[in-house]
Amino acid sequence: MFKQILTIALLSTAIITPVFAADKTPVVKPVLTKTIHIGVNGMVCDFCAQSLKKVFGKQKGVETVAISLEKKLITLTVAPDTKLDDATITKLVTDSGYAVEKISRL
Amino acid sequence: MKHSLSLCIALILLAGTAQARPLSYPGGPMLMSDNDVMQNNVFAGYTVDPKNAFGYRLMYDRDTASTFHGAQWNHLLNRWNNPDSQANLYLQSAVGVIDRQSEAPGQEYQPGAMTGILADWEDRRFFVSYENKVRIAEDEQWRNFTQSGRLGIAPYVAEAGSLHTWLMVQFDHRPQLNDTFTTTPLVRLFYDSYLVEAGYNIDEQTPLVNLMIHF
Repeated sequence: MFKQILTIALLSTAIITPVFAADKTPVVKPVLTKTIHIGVNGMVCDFCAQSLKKVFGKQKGVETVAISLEKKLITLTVAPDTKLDDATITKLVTDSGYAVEKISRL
Repeated sequence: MKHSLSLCIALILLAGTAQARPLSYPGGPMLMSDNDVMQNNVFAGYTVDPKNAFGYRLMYDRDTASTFHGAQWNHLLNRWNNPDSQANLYLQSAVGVIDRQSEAPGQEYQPGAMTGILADWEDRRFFVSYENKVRIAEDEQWRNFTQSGRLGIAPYVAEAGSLHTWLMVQFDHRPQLNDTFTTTPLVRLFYDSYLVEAGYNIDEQTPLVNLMIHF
């Protein structure tokens, strides 16, 4: 009787375990942000950098703004549903007094 | 708090034009203050679009002991954006009222205006600029023409957000001074939205202190 109970218990464990195991499978989280790189001409001083940082920082959905004078690059991280198309980016940069060299998205 | 502190610093210095970027980004307020042997200047402005800023100018002229209150327009005539450098040509003009404290009551106020160009070129290592100004008024003493130029070099190339340091020499041509041509070595420090310049006119033996804030 004890052996039968033990056998049933082991079989049950064997059947149930994969179910739990399946539950432990790591969940791949969706990407919460996307990155936009903007190459800018004329961005040579810190006033330029700070101005552009303020302009892009005010845009809805923009989470971070990083500027490299060395690489002449603005790097934005934005929420995936953010509507920030190339035309809008170009207008923001141009209106700030600079020129867009290229825009790339990751 | 940060802005209040900035305003206090500017008012304490009570200064003019620092030969640097008289326009901010559209929607951006700015404060400039220049102080030298001739004048104390303050300009509080607001950039309305990529090419135009408007604001209030207060200028105290030591030579004529007069104060100018005026509306100023800074206009970007052209900008050249290159991969490693930028060049600008600005027109700066103001119209207003001159308060001549030394005149008899009833005669102390008269209209005045000033206009001039500012041209600059800079990359991350070198800086060159030229500025001139014509003052127009009925008062002969107040009317004048001045011009100045600058050469600058950055001892190190700084990244955005860090302290930028420039070593500069300013050459002034002011026909109304005893020393028509004067030279002022100065240090320009740039950090975040703040620019401070401190120098010493070696011919007139007077200090130069300039401040600029782009809020």
